[in-house]
Amino acid sequence: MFSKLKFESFLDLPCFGLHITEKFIRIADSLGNLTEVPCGKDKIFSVKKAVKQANLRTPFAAISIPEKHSFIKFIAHGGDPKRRIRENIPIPIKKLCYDTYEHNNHLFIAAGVKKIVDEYIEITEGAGLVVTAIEPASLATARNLKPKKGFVLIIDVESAGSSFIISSSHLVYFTAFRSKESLPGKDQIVLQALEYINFFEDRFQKTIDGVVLSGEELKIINLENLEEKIGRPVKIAKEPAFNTAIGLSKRPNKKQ
Amino acid sequence: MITVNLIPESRKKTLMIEHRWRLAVLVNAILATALIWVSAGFYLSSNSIKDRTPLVDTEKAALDTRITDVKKDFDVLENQIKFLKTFPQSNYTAFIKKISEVLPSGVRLTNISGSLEGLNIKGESPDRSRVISLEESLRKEFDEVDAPLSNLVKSKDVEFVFTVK
Repeated sequence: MFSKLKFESFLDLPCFGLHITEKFIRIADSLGNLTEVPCGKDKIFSVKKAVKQANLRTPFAAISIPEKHSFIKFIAHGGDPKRRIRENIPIPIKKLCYDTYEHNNHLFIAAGVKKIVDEYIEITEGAGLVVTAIEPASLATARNLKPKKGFVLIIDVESAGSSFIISSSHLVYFTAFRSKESLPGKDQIVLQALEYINFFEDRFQKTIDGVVLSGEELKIINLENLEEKIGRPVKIAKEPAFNTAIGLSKRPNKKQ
Repeated sequence: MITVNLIPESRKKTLMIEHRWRLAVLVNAILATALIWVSAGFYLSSNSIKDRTPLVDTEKAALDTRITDVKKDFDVLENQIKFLKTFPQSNYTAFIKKISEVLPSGVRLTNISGSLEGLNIKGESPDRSRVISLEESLRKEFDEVDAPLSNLVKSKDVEFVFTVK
């Protein structure tokens, strides 16, 4: 019986999404219940508090690592994936936790700094939970805000900085993180978004159909005449602060 | 949407082993629970059978008695049927008529009963000679006449018995 059991079957277990940021612990369970607890200095204690408040029925958690400590690349596939990781990610492969996915002769690479991954596992397991999945926050966010068709730019504004994610209905093509310090002005996030839109449209010969705003620090974006500035429809996510946690809770049971 | 998992490979193996243990414990727990329930079921049912054994014994004894009674009734009925079957052949009515024709005056019959052995006649006579006369008359009429000697003991007021076939 055990010989037929793959690791993926472990992921079949019902799990909840746990999003740990600098300011908050956020939980989304598979039933759609959302919980938010302020994050103190002792993150393990804060996670315990959030878990207790969420009244969860499972110890299995899918967690995310911050965008600034993760890498997502969508590149032309050729040769050994490990070699391609070495060529495209500026951190020694021994110091990375990574996973890859092949799509139409392209290679999708997701990686995180091992030290950070271990730190988040330690926090989660310190709170008495079992980590069944880890992924970059941008992937989880995109899973919840992906368009039904076409391409969207998701701007996810967190306290540490802003993530720019370009996603279709089934794939994340591009992600970038800019710290709060690198984009201090009110309009600079919008200007940066326009730069990424132009870069993507030139590189992939595709059109971005709209922009979705998300994140706990969404209010720092200057929303005045935003659609005119960007030249595309702009909408604000229904639960701006919970998109990553919800996206984690929506992880499919098997790799797609 | 694409799904990746950054859990380190070494950790995946650990999780897999833990998962197998969890599964093994779960399966064992289910089997143990099932075993307990089955055992409890057997224990309770065997106790129930033991408790009911005396009742069954009593019922069996009552039934045995009833069967014996029915058998006795059946034997009685069988004998009666056998007797009734012989009745037309014996033709007792004709026998009684013959007896009445040869009965000396002063002699009276007190009882007539039929059986497989024949017709049993009891009566009273004022004297011994009329009993002897009746015996002779009966011997002329019937194939077999059984007359005990006790019929001739007394000379007067004689009580007699004859069996004729």
